[in-house]
Amino acid sequence: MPRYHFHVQDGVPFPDQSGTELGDIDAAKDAAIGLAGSILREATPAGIWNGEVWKLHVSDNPVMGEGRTFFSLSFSGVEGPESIRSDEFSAAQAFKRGSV
Amino acid sequence: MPGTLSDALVLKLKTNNRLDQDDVLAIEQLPIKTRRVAAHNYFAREGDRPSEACLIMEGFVFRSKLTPDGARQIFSIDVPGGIPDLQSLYLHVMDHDLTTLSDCTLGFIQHDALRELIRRRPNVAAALWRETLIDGAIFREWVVNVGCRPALPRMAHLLAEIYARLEQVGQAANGLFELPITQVDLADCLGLSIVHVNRTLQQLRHEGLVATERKNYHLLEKIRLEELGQFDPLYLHRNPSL
Repeated sequence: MPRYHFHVQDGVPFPDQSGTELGDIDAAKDAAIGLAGSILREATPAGIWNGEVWKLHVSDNPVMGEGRTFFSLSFSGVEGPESIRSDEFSAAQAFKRGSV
Repeated sequence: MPGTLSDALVLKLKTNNRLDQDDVLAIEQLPIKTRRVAAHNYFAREGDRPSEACLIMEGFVFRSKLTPDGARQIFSIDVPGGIPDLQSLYLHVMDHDLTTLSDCTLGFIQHDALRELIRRRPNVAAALWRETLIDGAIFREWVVNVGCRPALPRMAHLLAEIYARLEQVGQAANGLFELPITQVDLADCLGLSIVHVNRTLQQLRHEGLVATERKNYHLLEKIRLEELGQFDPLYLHRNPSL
């Protein structure tokens, strides 16, 4: 089974040196979402409301930024009306009018 | 390591309870059948009607339940000297599973023999009752651990508890103990994913609290670890005179 390393980039990076063996990339994606959810639920990442992005990189290498990156998850907070894209806004308006 | 099967039981019961010489003698005369069971074998399953109780002489056992969709929660790790299915003496149908965590030497005691001992020796009856009550206290603490503590203190609490319970039966000292647990089992003890367990162990190592090498655990900073895990050993009720 391939070994996946789940590196967290949250102000201070925390590399996943040992990694976890998982069946395939889909299992790694599920595991990443589960891990991200648990970490974010337990503590709000520093700077999340100041434009900093919390990231989870999943790669095949124990060193962060080396080897092959399979995918990454990002999480950030944006305040105010500009946080919603215009197309999302029109979709929401359409929903409200009952035309969807 | 205790010399005979009953020694493991006597050692465990004596640390938590008051027993006199005749009580100990009566326990030593219990007929106990030894069986070696390899790691990861169920030896009592939900729905079973056991006719004997199982004493752990060597190794670790865990208690767990499976949901219909296959999720598993482990709610206790049992250490040598314990009788994890003592409840089946009076609750005849098993409501959870008992599995060996590691290779184990187990001693099986017929329920009839235990019931007879309990009738004859009130101190032993009180001791066994107390043991099952302490089991309940440990379950309560595990519910709090899984339900209320973030991953890092949750893991810290588990390691602190296992250390305290092993120390009581002479199987841990100077921060060192052996726990041959897989990350899958650890994940089900803590209600965390395997990836999260892995990350949490790395965090504990990174902070210099714990060193691990396969089944060997070293609590490098036991007091700091206990503080992090909010570990208060009150619920283990180790002192019978309190």
